[in-house]
Amino acid sequence: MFFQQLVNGLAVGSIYALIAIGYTMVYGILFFVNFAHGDIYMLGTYCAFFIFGFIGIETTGGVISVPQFFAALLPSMLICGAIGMGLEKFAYRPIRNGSRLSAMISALGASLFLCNTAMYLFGSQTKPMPKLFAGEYFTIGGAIVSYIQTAVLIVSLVLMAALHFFIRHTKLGKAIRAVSDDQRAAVLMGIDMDRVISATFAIGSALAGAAGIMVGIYYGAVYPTMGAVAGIKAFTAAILGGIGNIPGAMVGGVLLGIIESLGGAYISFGYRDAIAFFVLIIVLCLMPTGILRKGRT
Amino acid sequence: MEESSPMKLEVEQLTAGYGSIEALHGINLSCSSGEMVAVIGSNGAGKSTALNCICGVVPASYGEVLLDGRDILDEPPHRIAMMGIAQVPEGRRVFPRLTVLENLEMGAYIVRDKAVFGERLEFVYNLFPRLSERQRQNAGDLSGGEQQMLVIGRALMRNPKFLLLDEPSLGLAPMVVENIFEIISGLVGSSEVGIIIVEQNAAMALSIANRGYVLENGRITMEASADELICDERVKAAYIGG
Repeated sequence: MFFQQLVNGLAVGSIYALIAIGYTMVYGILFFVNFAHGDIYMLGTYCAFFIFGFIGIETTGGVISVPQFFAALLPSMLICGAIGMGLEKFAYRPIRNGSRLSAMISALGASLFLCNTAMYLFGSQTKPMPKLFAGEYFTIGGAIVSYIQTAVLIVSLVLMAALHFFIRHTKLGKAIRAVSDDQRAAVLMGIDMDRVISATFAIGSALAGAAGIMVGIYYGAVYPTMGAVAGIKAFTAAILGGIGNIPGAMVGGVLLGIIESLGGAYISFGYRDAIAFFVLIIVLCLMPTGILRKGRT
Repeated sequence: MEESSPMKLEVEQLTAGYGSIEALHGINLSCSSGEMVAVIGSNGAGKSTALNCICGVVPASYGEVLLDGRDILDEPPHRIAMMGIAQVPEGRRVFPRLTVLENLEMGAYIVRDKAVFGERLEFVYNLFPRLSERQRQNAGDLSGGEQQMLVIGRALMRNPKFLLLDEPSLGLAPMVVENIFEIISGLVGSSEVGIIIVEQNAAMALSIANRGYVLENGRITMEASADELICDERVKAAYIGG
């Protein structure tokens, strides 16, 4: 059972990791928690839902092919990236020089706005999502590994590797790190803060969108409030890894997924969410800088 | 080679300061390309504020900053950097989690031409060979002197028209300071860059500058050639000591 829960935890955890990256990147630059991030993840699932509808896939009991999955993934990521940029422009940029408290309140407002807009436009009831692969699986060492779990893991890893490359080796990626290290010094280099912040929101939101689609397909459901719990769990993952630290968010996400799965299996499945929040409290009390520190500043 | 007329950076009636910012009460100063100007004064006199206003990172309430006659005071700081004004901020402010090379790359953020970047990198590495030895290390792991070299090199990466140095000697050992000042003074002789250096270490700054200003409580109280200032009894008593 241990190995089985490890596999389950890895799949869910890689999704937490994808969402956590957005929290941590924004925090690394602007020092506030973008509470609307979970709602962007939710919008990502809806994007995919409508794209599947548009290309004529039966959502109830329907099965999509791998190309159809990517046909939904890429546009949804783009749309979520654009929504993230819009969110920053309208909800955060006008108050950027204000206190962090006003940014946080604006974030809470934006979260409510996005969630309720989704309820108004798409209805508050849960809608079914089609499946990727019709429940096929293989077994390793007694653990059942479904194709969809494998796909989630592979897609997440590829996206995280791409992000890592972008942040490490491209000019814009280095500028994002420079701004995160020292804003004033970065501006003196001729780095356009607006552009860097916009890019940060676009990337984080696109990754959240990708996570949203995969969760929608994995659990077969989409509903307007799905961003709340996933959002706070990913936030926990970001804290666990050390907020502001991108590799930390990746590690924290995977770790949280595994802790949650094992806890759910060995303690009680009903306590799964409680375990995640217990982790949040423990980390905040005992090691508020996370397992990987942001590094010296 | 084409001979261009020297560029001029002029500050007129610059007024600033509220809250925690040191005040400026309408200061005038200027610097031409190829010239080195020292601004000396005690802590809190407004030296850093003056440089920060020129770079657009601190708002001015009144006055003008003219770059070749064009007022740049209302431009955002990254635009001012792109126009060729580079500030080396007080307290060094390297990007600690970026490598030395990445810091230099950020210095050349506005340089698009790869060949130009290569030339600038070679220039900076020639100036500070230490940086090339440490190029793969995180800037946060360098010594204070090396960090000061890095931030000066970083600013030079974009071949600025004007270089503004804010307290480059602060917190460094005397030998290191001497080394760095030697390199700075070499820049004046060998390039077109105009340098404004703000220093508490007045003797050191005046020894390599062409002209100097004394800034007291947000006002320019003296303006003269560096040689005159160095010999002035009042300057000696207040800023040089002994």
